Amino acid sequence: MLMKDFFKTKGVKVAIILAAVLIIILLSSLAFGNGTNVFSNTLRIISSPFEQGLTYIASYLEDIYSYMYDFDRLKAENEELKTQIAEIEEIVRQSKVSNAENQRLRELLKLHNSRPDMVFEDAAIVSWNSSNWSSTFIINKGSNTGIELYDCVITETGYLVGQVIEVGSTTSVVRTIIDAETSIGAIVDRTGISGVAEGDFFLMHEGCLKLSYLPAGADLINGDTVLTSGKGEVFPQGLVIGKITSAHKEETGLNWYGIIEPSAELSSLTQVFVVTDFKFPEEQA
Amino acid sequence: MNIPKNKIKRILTHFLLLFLLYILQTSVFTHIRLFGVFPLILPLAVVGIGLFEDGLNGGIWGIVAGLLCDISLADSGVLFTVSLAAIGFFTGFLSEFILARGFPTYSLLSLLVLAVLSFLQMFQYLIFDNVSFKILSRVALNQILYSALFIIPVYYPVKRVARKNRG
Repeated sequence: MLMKDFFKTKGVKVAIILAAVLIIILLSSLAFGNGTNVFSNTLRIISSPFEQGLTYIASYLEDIYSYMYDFDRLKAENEELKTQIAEIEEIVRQSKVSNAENQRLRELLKLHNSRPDMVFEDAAIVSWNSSNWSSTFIINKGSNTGIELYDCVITETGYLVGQVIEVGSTTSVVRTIIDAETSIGAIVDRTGISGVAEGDFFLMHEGCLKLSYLPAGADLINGDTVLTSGKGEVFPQGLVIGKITSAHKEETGLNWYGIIEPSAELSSLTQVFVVTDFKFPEEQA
Repeated sequence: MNIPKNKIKRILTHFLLLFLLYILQTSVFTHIRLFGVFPLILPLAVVGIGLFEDGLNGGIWGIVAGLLCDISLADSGVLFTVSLAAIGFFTGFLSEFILARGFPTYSLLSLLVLAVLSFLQMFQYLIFDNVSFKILSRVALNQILYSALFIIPVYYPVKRVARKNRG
C-alpha cells in the first residue's frame, strides 16, 4: 500500500489518533502544572545522551578553534618571553662580570691606597701561549698605553704575576714568575733572609718556582711569605711572590733552596695590572 | 686578472684546513694538557701536505704554519718558520722521487719531525740555560707522545685536501 492510499483510506483515523495524543499531552501538562509531562520527560531521557555527545563534540571543536586561534598569539608571547629570559640572563651575566670587576677594582683601590708609589694600567689577558717550554701570556695593552719593556705585572691584590718581555703598540707579552727565565730579588717576610726567586724548568710544569742562594742553615718554614726585595730596581719592593711549601739542600750541599708556590692563581687569571711606574725605597724615604 | 675557479677553491680549502688546525692547536688544546704538555698539530699537516702534494706546496705550508706556530708559541723566535718550511719542502721533494705516498711513510715521517722539533726546542735550554737533559727529554718525549695522537686525525683531512687538489 502506498502512502497516498494509506492517507486516503485511513487519513481520518490517523488524524483522530494524533489529535487524541495531542489532547492527552496537553491535559497531562496542565495536570502536572510544572511544564513537564511524561512524554517530554521520556523524550529528554532518550535525547539526553545524544545532546551530551553533541555538546562534547561542539566543545571539542570549539577548543580546536580556540587553539588554532590562540596558537599564533601564544607563539608570539612565548617568543617574547624567551627573549625576555635571554635578556635577563644577559643582565645577570653582566652583573656577575661587573661584580667581579668591581671586586677587583676595590682590591686595587686598597692596593693603591697602601702603595701610592705605584702607577697601574689594567689589562686583560688575550691568550696564553701553547708552548711546553715557557710560561707566557699576551695582554691587550701595549706601548700606546704607556707600557714599557720589563714593567712588572701584578694582580689586583698585589700578588706578583710576571714581567713584560715584549711590547707591541696594542699588545704585550708577559713572562710569568714560574717561567724558567725568571730571576727576581726576594726576601722572606718573616725573617728578612734574602735570596733569588727564580724559575726552574722542572718546577714550571708543577706551577712553582724556587727561592735560591739562601745561606746555609737558613731559617725557612712552610708557609713563609716571599716578597720582592726591590733590589735590582726592576720590581717594586714588597710585592708578594708566594709562599714556601718546602725547603731542600742544593746538590752542592752548601746552600738551601725553598720551593715557592705563587700566591697569584696563574691558571685562572683573566685580568692583570701592569705597574707602569713606581718609586724606589730611597725615593720614598 | 682571471684566476681559475678551481685555483681559488684550492687556496680556500688549504686556508680552511690550516685555520682549523691552528685554532685546534692554539685555542682548544691549550686547555687540554696531557702528560703536563700541549700538542703540536700544525707540523703534522706540513708533513702531510709535503708528502701528498709537492715541495713547493709543502714549503709554502711550512712557512705559513711555521709563522703561526712562532706567533702562538712566543718563545721559539723563527724556529718553526725556518724548520717547517724546510720540512715541508724536503718532504715534498723526496715524495716525488723516493718516498712512498702512504700512511706508514706519513706516520714515520711525522714522528721523526716531532722528535726533531722537540729536540730543537729543548736545545736552547740545554745549552744556554743549563737545564738537565733528563728533565728536558721528559718534556720533549711527552710532547712527542701527545702530538703523535693526532697523526691519524690529521692524516685523513690532509690527504683528502691534497688528493682533491692533485685531481
